[in-house]
Amino acid sequence: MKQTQSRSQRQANPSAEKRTRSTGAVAARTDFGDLWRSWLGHHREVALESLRRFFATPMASIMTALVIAIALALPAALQLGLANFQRAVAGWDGQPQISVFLHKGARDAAVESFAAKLRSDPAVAEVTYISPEEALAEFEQASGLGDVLAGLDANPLPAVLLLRPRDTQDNDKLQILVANLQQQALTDSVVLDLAWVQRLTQLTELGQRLSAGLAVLLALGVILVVVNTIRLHIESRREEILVVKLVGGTNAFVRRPFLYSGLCYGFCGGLLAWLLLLGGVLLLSGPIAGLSSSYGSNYALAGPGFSYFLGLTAGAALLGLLGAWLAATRHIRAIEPT
Amino acid sequence: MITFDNVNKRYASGQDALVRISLEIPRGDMVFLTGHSGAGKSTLLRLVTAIERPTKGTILVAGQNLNRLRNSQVPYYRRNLGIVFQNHQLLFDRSVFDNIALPLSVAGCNRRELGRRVRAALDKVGLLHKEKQNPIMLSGGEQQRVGIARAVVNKPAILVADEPTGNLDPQLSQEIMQLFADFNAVGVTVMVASHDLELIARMRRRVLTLQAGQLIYDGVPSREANPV
Repeated sequence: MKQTQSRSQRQANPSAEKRTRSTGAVAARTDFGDLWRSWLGHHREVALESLRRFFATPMASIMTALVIAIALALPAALQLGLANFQRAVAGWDGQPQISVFLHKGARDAAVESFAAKLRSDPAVAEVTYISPEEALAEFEQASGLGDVLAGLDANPLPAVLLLRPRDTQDNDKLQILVANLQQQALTDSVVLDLAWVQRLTQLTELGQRLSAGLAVLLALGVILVVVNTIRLHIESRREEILVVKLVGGTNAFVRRPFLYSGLCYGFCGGLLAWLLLLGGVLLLSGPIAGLSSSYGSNYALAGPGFSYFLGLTAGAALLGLLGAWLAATRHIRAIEPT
Repeated sequence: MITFDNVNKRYASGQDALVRISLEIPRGDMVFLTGHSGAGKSTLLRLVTAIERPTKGTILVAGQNLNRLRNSQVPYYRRNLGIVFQNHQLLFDRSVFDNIALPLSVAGCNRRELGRRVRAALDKVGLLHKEKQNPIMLSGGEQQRVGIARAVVNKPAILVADEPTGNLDPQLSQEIMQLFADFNAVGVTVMVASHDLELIARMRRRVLTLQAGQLIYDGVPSREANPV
């Protein structure tokens, strides 16, 4: 107790000295350390004040935040859906496959030695031989056209070698491998089964671009929502702004509380958007887990994790700040005492 | 302290509010500005407070040429002025204390210093016991005194008042004027626009009279001539 007293006395002393110096009609001066502390203090006060204002009209504030949240949740949900789709697809057999259709007349021994030769090829990871009979059985099963095939005299299907290339990424190497296979005496035709992989990649790419485009449009929407909200705030505090300007408040000083309000709207909107996503994922994860387990997979929907939380809240806060800045810079300059 | 050199002010409407005004107000002077409404009193004060810019001529305030003042410098210039308005311009969403503290928080004054200065200003206008009240609860005279406390809290070198007694009865007006005289006594240059000629005569200070934008009288009223 004694100690704190003496400390406060010591602190009080320099200001007492200052006091004696600055009497009379001298313009008040403040030193830089004071200015810095006061600037920080003002920021803290203004931040708390804008929070207080945000919750002073909870319904209106939450509505605005919800508009922002929905606008942000849409592209974020699309993005999350795509990420989950890619994860699901990655679990499947996404490897390109080369089907080598052999000549109808090829003898079994020759086919055997061709397959053995391919197995020893370093570019080939795996070779599966499908005899014409097996191919027919598979076709019957898959197509349901067994009766039609039964009417045919002979099996129209050729023997097939299914190759799994070792290097699946390098398109050039795949093409070389295909060209090599086409040179072989036993080969009738070669099909590089890349198409569906490519389609999938293109579809994902399409989805990515769609969500990016949507994100840009809706981010613009968020900025406009904040601009409009902050404009109304500024109008409602017109009197105060005039007085502050008359007693020497700079535009930056006047602008500050509105910037914090924008930040607040953005952050709350981002938070709500993340909660919306989380809710959506929780709603869907049950049925999806059931669906995937019925396929014997243990695939589960990935929720919006910490990165989404960070991205949405920080991104939305920045958008809010930007919107508030645009509105404040434009409208505060226009409010001048007359 | 305040120098006008051939100042003209013409509004965008083409109306000449001030015509070739030249005047000199020394440091520590107390001056009344009078004239009918529309004579240019308010325009002159708006020029001093940098709300308006002159169309022609030069204005020097505390050695600063207002013609050369950039818009971004205006707030810093105003921090050396105390401005009192007829409608006192108080904010009713905060306490008397916070109203008076406004010029200090704008200038970046620390908390401790701020409380001390606000109370000193409140003490001077005799409202120390009302700091926690909302100004809407106060009488007209008290509101005006809060306005004055806000104008002087930053210890300005110049105090400018536009019709500070406009809505007050003679007794209160007298008190308010005395308050300005008290600030003047400690060295503040005071400029008060008022049309209350009776009150001005009683104060026996220098009077500037404007008519249709021109300065038609500059001096201490002769009948009661007793310059201070």
